[in-house]
Amino acid sequence: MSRDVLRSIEEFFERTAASRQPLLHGFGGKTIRVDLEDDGTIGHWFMQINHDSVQVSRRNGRADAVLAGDQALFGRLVAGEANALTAALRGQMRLEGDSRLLVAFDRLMPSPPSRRTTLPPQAGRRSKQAVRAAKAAGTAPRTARASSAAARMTRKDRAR
Amino acid sequence: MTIGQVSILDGNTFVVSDKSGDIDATPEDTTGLFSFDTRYVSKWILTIDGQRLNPLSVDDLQYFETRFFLAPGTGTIYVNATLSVIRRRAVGDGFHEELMLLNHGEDPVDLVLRIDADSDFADLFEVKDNVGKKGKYYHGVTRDHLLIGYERDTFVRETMIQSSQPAKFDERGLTIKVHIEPDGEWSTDLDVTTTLIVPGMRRARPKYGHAGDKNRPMAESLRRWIEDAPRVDTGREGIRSTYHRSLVDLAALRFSPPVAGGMSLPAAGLPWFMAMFGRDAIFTSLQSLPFTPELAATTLRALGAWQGVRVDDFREEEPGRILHEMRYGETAAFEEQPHSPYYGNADATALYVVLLDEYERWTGDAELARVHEPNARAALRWIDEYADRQGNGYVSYQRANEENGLENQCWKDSWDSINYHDGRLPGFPRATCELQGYAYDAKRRAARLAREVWGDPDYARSLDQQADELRRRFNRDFWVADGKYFAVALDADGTKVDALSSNIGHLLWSGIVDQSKARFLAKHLMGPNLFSGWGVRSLAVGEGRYNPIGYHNGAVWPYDNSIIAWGLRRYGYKAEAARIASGMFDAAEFFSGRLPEAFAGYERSFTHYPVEYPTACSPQAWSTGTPLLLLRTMLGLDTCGQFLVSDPVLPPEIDYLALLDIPGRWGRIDAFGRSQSFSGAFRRP
Repeated sequence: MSRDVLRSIEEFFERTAASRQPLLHGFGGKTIRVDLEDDGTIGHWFMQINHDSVQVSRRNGRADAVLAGDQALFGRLVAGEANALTAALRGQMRLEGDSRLLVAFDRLMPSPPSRRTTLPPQAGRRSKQAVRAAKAAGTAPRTARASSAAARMTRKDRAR
Repeated sequence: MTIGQVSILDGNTFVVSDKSGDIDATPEDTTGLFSFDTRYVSKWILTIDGQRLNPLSVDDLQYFETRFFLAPGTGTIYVNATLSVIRRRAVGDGFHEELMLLNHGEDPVDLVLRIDADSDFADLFEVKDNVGKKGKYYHGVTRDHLLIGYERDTFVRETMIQSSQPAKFDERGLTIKVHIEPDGEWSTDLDVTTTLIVPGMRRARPKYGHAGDKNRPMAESLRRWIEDAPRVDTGREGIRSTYHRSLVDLAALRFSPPVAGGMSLPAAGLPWFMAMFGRDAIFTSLQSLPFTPELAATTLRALGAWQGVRVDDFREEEPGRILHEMRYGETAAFEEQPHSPYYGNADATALYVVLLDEYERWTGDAELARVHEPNARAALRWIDEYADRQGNGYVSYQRANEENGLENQCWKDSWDSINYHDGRLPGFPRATCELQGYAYDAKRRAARLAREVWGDPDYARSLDQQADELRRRFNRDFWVADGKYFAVALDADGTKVDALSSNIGHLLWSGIVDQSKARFLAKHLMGPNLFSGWGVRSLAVGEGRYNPIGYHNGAVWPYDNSIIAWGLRRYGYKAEAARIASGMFDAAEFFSGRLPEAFAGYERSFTHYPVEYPTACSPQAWSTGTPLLLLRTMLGLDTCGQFLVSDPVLPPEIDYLALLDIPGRWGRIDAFGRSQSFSGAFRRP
């Protein structure tokens, strides 16, 4: 299990490094180190935020902010199963340095698993043109067809 | 706030006590020291020789500082006291209390001074809803402090109490034996500090200095704040004092959320809303832009940093959506409330774009507008892709969090605020009219930014086309032809929710209204059903749910009126706008210059004074911003390219009005208006 967690964390950082992050411009130039604690060992991930991208390495260097906590917690964070801000407010994740960077880190986390494939609520009903335009702009979530069904299902799930 | 309570505040930290400075909280009232939505002190009672003290007077020195003058003896019996006690308390990352005892007698005295202290660490939402705690309390007593703590799993909050004079601490407070010579005095400094919210962050240090240098940084910051703002000159004293009160209250409501990097934005209001609220911060920034533009800059940065990036039903987060409310208390931490942050609003996202444009037009800070281009584009995409929940091209809302999300995600957010003429409530999704106005304005303004700042004329053309098309449809689909006004909303079937409400004033502000329809709206807004004599009611007399003390169904909201007046001006109804401004400034004088969140919709001639809404918050940021926007409206201030233009129209009661040193892209400029009857000379003071 621990190996799965490690792999999902690794995949998260790879994804982060590979994608554009246009809304992180307010944090440009800042660095975050993530310390993953597991049975007395500490693994490090180092993020350098640029204007609209993030560089990732395994460096154990000085950073503007250090986020530290149990490796399992970070596994849940990168799976969208836990929330970075509430984890910090509860004291499960420790923060040292520039507290704004907690926000930057939180912004990189994915949607909760139940909503991973859902679409804008009316995407199915909107004109094809609008969907095409959204796709061209790179914002439309992937599975356009399944949209309404998925939205209905999650709503039912919630009602449970 | 209840009468007889004294509150001092600094951002999201505030102390509420009784008139003698004591705090003795019951589970459901709001006395105490609050910080980051948590009550860190729930009991703070001073006794001397076992007796509580009588308040003689309270001297509010500053918004963050109060002095209590006390004497021994309780009840109605007057004791010729030879002892007086002065408590001087300042808030700021905890609080600091200087306790001074003066012996006016001819003999030395030996006294036992006692502070009973306790902390219940109640979450503000627990105080509001009166629910119990789930964790455990602990105490740490040493020779020089008392530490009161609360823990629930890894969640820890602590209050530390220290004294500059030697004291004997125990779990319930501290005791000091005091000896004072005849005509002598004695004092101690008590420090109450709170742990910061995130472990690993440094412990809060009081902002105030000690002995001889008290409160210097905060006093200095307030002095600069007032000095940097434009000055008002007018023959009407009430306007000057209301303006000053507004500036001071805005300073008090400034708050630096962890994301703002030490910069300030306005918190929404005392006591329930000392937090970051998207809508309130944006409206307050719009209102105060010509006076204190730095609030707008911080608001744009902070809300941009928190802009939604994923789909999360619990928080109602969606890509591009601007947050609604951010909280730091225990219920947020354990996800019993969704405020981490909560995104359930349908207006702040469009209003964010509106503020970005207004900020750039006013200040000339093109760099901020350029840097936030991705945020504006994401906001506009949210409007088109996520906000259209009815699939008809209008912004509508239906909560995704059905447990504790907001039903009404517009500014009128109480449960029954959106209703038909006959009083029925519509189903969901609901597309309220002002949301369409904001979306229209956002597209128009983004088109200007795209043309003039972002260098993307194609995007500008496309946005202008969308705005034109939205305006055409809106004027057709929302118009209630027999009443000649716009419906408050379209319901889930696209049927008009046909109540007459103040929302039509926001439509004028946004510019979505066809010129030919504007005069009907102006007539309604100034007519007897909406206009109370003080201002425009949230819902018109004669509507099914109208109630003069209905929160959003009849009460008069100062903030609402400032936007309506701005809208009337936009369509050329200058005298009407001035009449609203005059009514609001008149009302403000009844509240010592501090307009409450809302007051009752009774006819002015019926009550002669504005009746405050029973549980209204005060000070409330967007009520505080109201006098500022009304000054702008009366003077008809706007930008035109690099210039400030002024087209003043004053109400008859105001003979002249000057605003001096208005900051903006032009540097600093004065604006001046006089009534037609005013013949005096005006000199720049």
